[in-house]
Amino acid sequence: MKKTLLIVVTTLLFFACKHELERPTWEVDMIVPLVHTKMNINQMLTDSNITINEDDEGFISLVFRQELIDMNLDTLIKIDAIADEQTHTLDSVPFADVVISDTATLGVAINEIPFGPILLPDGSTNSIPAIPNVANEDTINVNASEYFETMTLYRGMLMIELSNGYPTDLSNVSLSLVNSSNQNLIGTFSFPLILTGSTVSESVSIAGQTIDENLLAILHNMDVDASNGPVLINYNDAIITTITISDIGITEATAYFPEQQLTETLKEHTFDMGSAQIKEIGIKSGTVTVNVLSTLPNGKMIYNIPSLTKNGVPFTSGDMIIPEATNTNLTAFKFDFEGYVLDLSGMDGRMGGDTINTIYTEAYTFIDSTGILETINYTDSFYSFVEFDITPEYAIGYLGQDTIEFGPESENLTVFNKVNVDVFNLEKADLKVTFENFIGADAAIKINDLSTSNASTTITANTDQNGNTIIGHTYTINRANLSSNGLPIIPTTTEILIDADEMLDILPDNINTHATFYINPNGQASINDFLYPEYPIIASISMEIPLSFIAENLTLIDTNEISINTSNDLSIDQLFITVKNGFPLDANIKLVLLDVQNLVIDTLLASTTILAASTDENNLVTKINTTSIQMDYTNFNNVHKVISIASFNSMPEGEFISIYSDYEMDITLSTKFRKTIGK
Amino acid sequence: MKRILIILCTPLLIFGQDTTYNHQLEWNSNFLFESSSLDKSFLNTMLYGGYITDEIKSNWINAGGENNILYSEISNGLSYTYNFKKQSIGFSFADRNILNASFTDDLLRIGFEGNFHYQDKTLDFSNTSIRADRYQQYKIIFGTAINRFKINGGISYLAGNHHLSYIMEKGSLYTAPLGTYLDIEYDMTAFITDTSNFSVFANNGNGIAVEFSTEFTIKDYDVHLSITDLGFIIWNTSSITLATDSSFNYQGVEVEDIFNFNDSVLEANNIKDDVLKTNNASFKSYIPATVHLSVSGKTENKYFKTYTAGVIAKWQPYSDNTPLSFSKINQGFKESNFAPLFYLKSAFNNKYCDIIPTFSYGGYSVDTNVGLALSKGKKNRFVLGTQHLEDVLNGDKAKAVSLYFNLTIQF
Repeated sequence: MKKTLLIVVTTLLFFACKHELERPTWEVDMIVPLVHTKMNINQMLTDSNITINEDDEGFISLVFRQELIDMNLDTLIKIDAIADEQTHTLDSVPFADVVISDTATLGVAINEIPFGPILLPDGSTNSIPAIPNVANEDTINVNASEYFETMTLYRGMLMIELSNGYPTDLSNVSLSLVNSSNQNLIGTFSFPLILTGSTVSESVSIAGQTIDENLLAILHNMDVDASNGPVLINYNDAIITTITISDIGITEATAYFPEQQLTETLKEHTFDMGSAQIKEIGIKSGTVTVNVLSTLPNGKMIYNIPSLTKNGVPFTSGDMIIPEATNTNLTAFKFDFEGYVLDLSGMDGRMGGDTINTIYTEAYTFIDSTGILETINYTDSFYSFVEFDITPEYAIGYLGQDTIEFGPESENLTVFNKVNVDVFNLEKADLKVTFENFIGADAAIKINDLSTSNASTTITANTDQNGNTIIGHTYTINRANLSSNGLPIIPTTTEILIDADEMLDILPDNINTHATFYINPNGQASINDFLYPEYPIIASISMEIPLSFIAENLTLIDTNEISINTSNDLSIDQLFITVKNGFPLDANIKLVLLDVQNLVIDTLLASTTILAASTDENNLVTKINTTSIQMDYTNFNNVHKVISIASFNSMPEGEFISIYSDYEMDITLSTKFRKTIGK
Repeated sequence: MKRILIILCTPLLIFGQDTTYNHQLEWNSNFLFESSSLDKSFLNTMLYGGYITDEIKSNWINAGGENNILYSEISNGLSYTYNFKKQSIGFSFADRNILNASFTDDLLRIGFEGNFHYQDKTLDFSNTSIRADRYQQYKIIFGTAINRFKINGGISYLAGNHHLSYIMEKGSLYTAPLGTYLDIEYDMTAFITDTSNFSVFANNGNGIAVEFSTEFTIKDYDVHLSITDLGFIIWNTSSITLATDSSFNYQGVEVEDIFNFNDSVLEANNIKDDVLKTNNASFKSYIPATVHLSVSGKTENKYFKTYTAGVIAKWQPYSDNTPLSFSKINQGFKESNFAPLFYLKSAFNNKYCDIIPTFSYGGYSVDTNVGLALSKGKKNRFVLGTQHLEDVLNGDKAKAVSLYFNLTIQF
């Protein structure tokens, strides 16, 4: 038993004496593809200005298009003017007459005669004896407070009118009119004889005088002549005295002014549109602003433009209440004229018939009645003007003759920016200048310059498709037409075709243009012109380059940002680029690595050739050739950019090669890395 | 463990015991590592760490044939048996840890060397299987004698702790020159029990196993036939299952502009997510069942008076994918990775201890092995032995390591 136990314990100890368990480590070498791409010509040329066309056989042509001239014809018909400027001072404003009336009845007069009512009862028929001095320094209060408190006039006439309603004549009537406040004499009046039933009047000038609201009429004397036999005694018969103040020119007045039109201005206004003769403008957007400054406490203005209609309804501003100005700031009333039609033929029914560039307007200014006493003086004034700021949607009429110069201008071409070349020869390239005319007017364009240039060379366009020398030649552009007198516009197209392979062989940086554009070069036509500024003339240039060329050292340089961080347990040993080239172009590749400060870290590829695809006797690709490139640089942690310099040579040398849409370059980037397992 | 006990203890099993003692208590421990090609240095490195050099990798890959089998088991068990006159009843508990793997040299190549050195070649790792189990087995056994036959039957409850299996029926990787593309083909299934709890006695599955054995004498020969550990474990629904079957060509991430390159381009395509799409579901796995047939007899030899010759086979299919049939039975034998083991054993008795040599061929290593056990005691007996005596002398070049001991107390 003891032995057994000893053996058991020994065996257990054997199992107990074991090492600490640990994980083993080892390294594996893996090669895996990282990135794969297939590039055809569509993917290589990513300039947004380039369109790639292919024919039925897949042969590629590049089309480059850009706007040549940016025409803005708004200015031909834009209305931006100030009109109807007017100033009115009170001294030029006529005021309504003030009429005050007083009635003295026969009954009142008889009552003042001793025993008068007994002797001459109302309704009786009696002979009236002569009564001298019926009135002797009698005063009659004349209350004008209904009209004014006080008026100082620089101009005015005061007329007293006596209407004799008594049944007898009156004679030797003399009276004076004074201000009751200060007894200033306003005027004296004398009427030797006033026949019964007649009216006499006399006027005096009150210029320079101040009239109070309370006047005293002093009747110095009035004799009643004897009646011609018995007459009917009617106590209601009266002498009516009417005091009229007219031709009022106020120096200053405090009065209850009724609504009173101050001015009325009805006039035509002609806009300066150069040589254009416009009959109608449709307004796309715009405003008319009536600017007013009034020192009157209660001014009002109404502004109408009968020439301006919307759905047949002419424009009226309605009552514009003008606040009394406390400084020189004008009050502006702005009106939106979007959608209106402006008739520029002047006032309806004008003498001489319709005109052009002219509108008709009506402006009225008022003192508005407030019902309260207001004080005004002769310096008070009313100033206004109207601002038109209209952007037309269209214009109809004669656009006039105009010459618009475009350029000289140099447009930067970016498509060849990254390209240098020793020899580059395009088999063919066409350049087309296109004018698409949306204006309803005859036009012409003369090209003063059309050339391409790079740092050292300039090539000028030569002749067009008709053999004309382009520079200096004037091209006619026919007018557009409207569809049923409205949109859409039916444009006309004028094209100039130029053989441009020499212009493009230099891989230009710029395209230079200079042109003179003429509107209505031959003057006014028999039909109306039209212009929709939104649809001007579109001038563009397009280049069509069939991709058939010879290239020697055609170099593309590009800089791209990259970001690759290698992990600590992944050690990149090598990178491989496998290129299956389906293009008939040899390529020599150089890759340079830059850090974040654009300093060179290393050259990843010094100068590696990628073989061109094999071609047949027609220079068509028959076999794709594969090139493998090995790169030993592995630490990309500091790499921020890669400069790629690729030089291409067409193969076979000296022969034109054509590029087809199915030509592809298959590129695979793979890596050999070493990974440590178990760490 | 079972193989050793079966070989060694067949003549010492419950039936052959001295029935004077009603009670029998037994402890068994077994450690086994067996490989058809990889040697002990592989085991040591995997367990105890160290840096695996290119020379070591090359040795492992070039050892043996193209296919490698690796089997390892650590088990400990305690059993109690009560003997009646003609019957017996017993209870046992065992803790078992089993690793059974079969893989090609190409898997070793890709795992240890990578694919860089195999450009324009296909690495084929079809028919790869890796199975690992840990479970406890609670068994009740009943034995009786009927006429000349001694019959023994038992049933076990299996408490599953952890399971991992990874079966790739079809798998290959072709690497194009300079890694321009990879052609990957795979048809694999994998199961792993709940990874949220790695405790040693976690219960992630339950199973059942049965066993049956019989012994009888024909003329002067004792014939033994048994089938043990025929059973399975059903793992719970927290288990992770993966079944995927695909083939694809990988050329890297497709980009439009190869010159605008950064890490985010690589992240745009993660094949790993496409390949490893897992589910949570229950699954069933089999434990290795053992079929044993042996014949024992006596000799006239002065030293070796008895001998036993037998054959052992294992049955352990990968999964429960088809109903039971002859082809399923055949599938189980094939997928067990165990070649039928033929053995011849004897016993040399001397006053100090019994020496039990064994010669065998087959098994996981498909090799000739010499085993030796020392047994001391009759009533209370201790046995210590190894199945691979020849490998003890081979050091790190040994393809197998085994050690077992058995302690039996009768009272």
